[in-house]
Amino acid sequence: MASAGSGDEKAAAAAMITLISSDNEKFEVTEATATLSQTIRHMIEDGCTDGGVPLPNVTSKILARVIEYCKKHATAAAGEEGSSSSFSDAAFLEVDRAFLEELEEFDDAFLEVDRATLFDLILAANYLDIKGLLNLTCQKVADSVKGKTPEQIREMYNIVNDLTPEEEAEIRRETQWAFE
Amino acid sequence: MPPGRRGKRGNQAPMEGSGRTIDIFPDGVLQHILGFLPARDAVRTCVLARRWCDLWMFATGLRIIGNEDDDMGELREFVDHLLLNRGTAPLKHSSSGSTVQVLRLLLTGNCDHFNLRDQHLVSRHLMKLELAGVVVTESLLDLMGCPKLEQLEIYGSDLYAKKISSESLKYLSIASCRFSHSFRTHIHAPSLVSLLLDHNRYNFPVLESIPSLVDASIRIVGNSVDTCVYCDSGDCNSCQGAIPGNCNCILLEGLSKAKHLALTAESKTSIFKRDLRRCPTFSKLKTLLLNDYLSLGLDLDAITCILKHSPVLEKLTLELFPKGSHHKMEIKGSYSPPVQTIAAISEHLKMVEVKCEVVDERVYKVLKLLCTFSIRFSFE
Repeated sequence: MASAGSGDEKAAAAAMITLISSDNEKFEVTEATATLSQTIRHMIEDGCTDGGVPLPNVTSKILARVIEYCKKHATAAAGEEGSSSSFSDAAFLEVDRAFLEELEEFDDAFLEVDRATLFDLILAANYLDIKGLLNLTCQKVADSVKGKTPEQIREMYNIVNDLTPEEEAEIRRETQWAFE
Repeated sequence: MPPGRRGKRGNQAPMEGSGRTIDIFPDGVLQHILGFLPARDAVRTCVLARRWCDLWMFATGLRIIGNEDDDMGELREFVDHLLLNRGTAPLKHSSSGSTVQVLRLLLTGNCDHFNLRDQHLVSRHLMKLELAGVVVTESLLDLMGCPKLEQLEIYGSDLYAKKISSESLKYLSIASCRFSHSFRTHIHAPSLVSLLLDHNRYNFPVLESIPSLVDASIRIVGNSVDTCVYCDSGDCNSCQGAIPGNCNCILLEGLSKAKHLALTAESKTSIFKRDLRRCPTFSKLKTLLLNDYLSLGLDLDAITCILKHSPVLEKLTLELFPKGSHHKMEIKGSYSPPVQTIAAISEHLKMVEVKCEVVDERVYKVLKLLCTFSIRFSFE
């Protein structure tokens, strides 16, 4: 079943999992890729992935991006393990720097999406429990908020202020130390 | 069937297509986002809307970043407020309400180091602690109250603590810090997997036993680490670093269970010499990198001693050029054990690399030494 399996020892890692998006599109991924998601990892451990894993809350558009991320980062994880166990060449105490740089570039490019997509990625990363992706995407939102006034943040992210002016004044008084 | 277990942060499955307000996120996600903000920005979100009033108190990270132009008194006050206001003052005495997983206190610039005297960290959730530009004393570095703490990074700080202790710590990095002039800090971290000590000054810390250690990198730079202008052997009593009558290892005993070890001496230090007189056996050591281009602390005797005490060593790299510069030459060798004699060094040694800028007298001596251990070099 693993068409791209290269080498005997890879056979186990190349077991395939089928993920099914909300719009019923099927994605075949390796177990190594899928298990970057803790949610899916648990399902595999519980043995309930036969016949595919339906993800009714993730569209094919978003799932494709999530898989793209997982594939890239699963390779990274495999590379790290490989180099430390077989102490090949320059891998001494330093993870391959070039690869890390490549990964960083990938992440930067990956984040170049509109806000709707970014939000969907966050929701999917949270739902699928993919720590790296969640950190990456949340960091991007945090960066956009950094240094902004509450008014600017409200406007930017369509937050409706449901505090009365009196309430808001009181909260500001209590946390004045953070506004100085 | 949809996945049975939901993401950690609680919550509902995503609802795509709904309005793109940030309010679509469950609290857990918002708290995670707040954890990436500088603390002041995170606290200020409390006036956004009703839902946001308390969110910052449960942010999964706390990043306190000071700049050169900050007034330290104000900053101190800010930190006090922050710690007092966070839930049940989680970082100070009690811990039950604390959800912080990452605490980052970074103060840069030329300001006086920010003093964290008498702060005590107690947190059930804290996993990572980063400190920069601060003065830390014993109470803060007694991390027994943080049973989940795995990562500790300290940079450019003053460490006036007799002991750094944590049973759970896995990754420890201390760089460009100043230890005490007058005593040695003991590091008690028996679960460490990875250790980095780089470019620190004054008395080198004593490493207690670390059975789980995998990677360690130690770099000694500058003239103020366990050096002595009066003696070369390190045992004269005028040495700042020497403890008269103390015959325990400082560094190497703690490193003796490492699998991968990098030792760099870029200043005249007596520490290796002193330790090597009581050289432990590096029973798991597989890869070893020694860098000492000026032959300051890791001379031929040291190389001999470590080789003889590393029974399973597989790869040895000797860097005889200044760190940061590029080496021009790389001489590769391998071990061809003599027939019918008992090997003096590891039988598993497969690869030896000597890297240098020029083959000078020093390099020549090293190569010659290695040849006496039946290491043969090839020149291609």
